[in-house]
Amino acid sequence: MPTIDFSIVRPYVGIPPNADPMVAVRLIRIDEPKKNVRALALVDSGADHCLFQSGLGERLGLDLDDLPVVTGRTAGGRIEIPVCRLKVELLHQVFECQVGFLDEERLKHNLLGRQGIFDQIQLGFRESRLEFYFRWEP
Amino acid sequence: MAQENLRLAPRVTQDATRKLAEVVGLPGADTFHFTSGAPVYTTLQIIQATVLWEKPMERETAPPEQDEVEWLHAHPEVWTQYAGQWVALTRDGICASGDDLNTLFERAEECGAQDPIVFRISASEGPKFYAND
Repeated sequence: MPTIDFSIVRPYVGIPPNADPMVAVRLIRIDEPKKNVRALALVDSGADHCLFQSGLGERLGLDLDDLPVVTGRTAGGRIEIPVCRLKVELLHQVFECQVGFLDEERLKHNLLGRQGIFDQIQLGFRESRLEFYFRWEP
Repeated sequence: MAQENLRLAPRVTQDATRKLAEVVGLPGADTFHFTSGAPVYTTLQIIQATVLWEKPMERETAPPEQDEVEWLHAHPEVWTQYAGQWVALTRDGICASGDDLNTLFERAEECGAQDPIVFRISASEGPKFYAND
């Protein structure tokens, strides 16, 4: 019988009232690694991409108006999203992926989406304990 | 060298010496102990074994944000207390809050926070992500 081996177990922050799983990450500019910021992000397998609140992009010194945009599909329709390739550090592991930015009025929580993160790790939840199970293999 | 061995010896348990035998492939670890006075292992070998033995997997992989996450676990009131604000979290708790990130980082620096985790707590419940166009 196949077995799943998750090598790392960590608690996550469960946001009330539904204990939505949040983890701490560090966003790092690829061209200027000294420009980085730590934030909480929701682990969201329903999100295609990583999305972060615009203020964090500005904190990294990014000119969001000058970034290339992609058209995102949201619950409310289509929207232009500025994107930038960044390093995302999660539990000591660093992933390079495309990150989009939206203002906090539209983006309630930062999101860790599938592309760039989920496709590089194995991940499980034990919600009754607010725990993640990770394995650093695709 | 012998003095160094003696100084390090109290830190090395019999279990660690067994681990040392596994690591360096030396025989006789099951019966060896430092009180015998036999200088079997070099200082470097003892250090290697001690480090390997005393550094459990949990410490090797524990992320730097572990304390902050555990603090948030213990303080769920934060989510209502700071609703609508940006907050800066350190291992000692919320050190600053503000309506915008610039204000937040100014306040965080004033309280000595070097590298806080910052996040915005939504003012109200609702969809996590929605377009406003």
